[in-house]
Amino acid sequence: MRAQRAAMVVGTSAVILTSGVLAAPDADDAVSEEPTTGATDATDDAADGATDATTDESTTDAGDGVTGTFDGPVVTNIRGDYQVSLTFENGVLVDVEFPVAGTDAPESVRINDAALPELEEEFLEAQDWDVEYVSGASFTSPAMVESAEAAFEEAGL
Amino acid sequence: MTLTRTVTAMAMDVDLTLVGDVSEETADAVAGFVAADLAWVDEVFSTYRHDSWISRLGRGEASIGEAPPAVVEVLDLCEAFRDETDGLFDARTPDGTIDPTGIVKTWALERSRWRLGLVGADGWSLGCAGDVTVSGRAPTDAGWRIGIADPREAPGPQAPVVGVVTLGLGGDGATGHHAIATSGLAHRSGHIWDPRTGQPASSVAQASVVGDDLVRCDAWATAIVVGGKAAAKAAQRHGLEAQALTVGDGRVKASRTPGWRSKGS
Repeated sequence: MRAQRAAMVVGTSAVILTSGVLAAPDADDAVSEEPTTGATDATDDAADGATDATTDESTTDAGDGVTGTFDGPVVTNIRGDYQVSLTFENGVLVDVEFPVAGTDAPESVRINDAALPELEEEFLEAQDWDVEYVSGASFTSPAMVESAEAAFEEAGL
Repeated sequence: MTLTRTVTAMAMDVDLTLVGDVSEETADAVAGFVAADLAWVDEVFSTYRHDSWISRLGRGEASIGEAPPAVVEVLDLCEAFRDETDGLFDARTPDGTIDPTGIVKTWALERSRWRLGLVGADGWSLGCAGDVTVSGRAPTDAGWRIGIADPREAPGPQAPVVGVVTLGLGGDGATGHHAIATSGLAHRSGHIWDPRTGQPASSVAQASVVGDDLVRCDAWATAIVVGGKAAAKAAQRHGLEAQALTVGDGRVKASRTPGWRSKGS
């Protein structure tokens, strides 16, 4: 149990180091019974503890540390929604992923769109130009309209 | 030499132009094959036909697994473009059925493209109303000049034009792209509706999009009629150039992406 809490502290610190813009999970809640000063302290604690599991990545003797992938909650800030997924092997953090990373948030979309070149505006006049083809809205085949009109006439309508 | 053929499909004229040493018989043959391709697409996808696969799927009488694979392909494309356009192009109708009509025509034109490649022409174009795709040499050295129809007038081959886009590589101001699609309200209110409100779209009278994939141009042209200038700006993200036309006080105003190249102002 104690090793797992320590692992969470390491994970939290790693996330903060990995992504400066990230809204960090609430570190105080995650490690309320442990020092929150950082990875080094936490691993020292774990090493001093009753179990021989450790989260120090330099330690090769992994023991019975926690293994698995843990998804954090989706945290929302002004830049959008963020979620972190941490993968541990024997108590060692081996992967950090961001299943939700903010780019779809309205704020992010607005900022991204602002980076696109602006439209240019101009008034147009109809003129006589030689063209191969005219691109306009859809219209029914003139031949079909003519044929339909003839059929209506034939029917006396 | 230039040969032209017109076939009627989906109640619209599809115009085929072949440039180069192509015989009349070859032109007739390829036009016949294109017409047959389009007739099949109409039978499968027409929402006006009671017995089309799309109509039967809409009524719950058939499942997607029974339908020809082309149905899944087109519906997947609709979903991909709904995603790409941020929901502005949406094949799901307000009453809950699926209507892929918005891209079926251009999908069908692209689908027949390979036939034209086998004819041995120096160049060709295939067009239907607003949507045209070209390849190779144009009938003249001026290039493939495509007129943008005046949105104030009734649409049709005789519609006056308010600008000219040159597709392909030849000619003055050529874009280097080989497809253009135009969507508009065209005196047919309700022809394009806004998926966000379920109401007919109204912000842009007519939108044209230049690119290389005619189906993508088509989806974005529709998206811009719905989503207005913001959508035209967003089209740039996908390598497209766009022009949205609005009509006010009888004048036509164009809003264009900076990379849009056309003659006329």
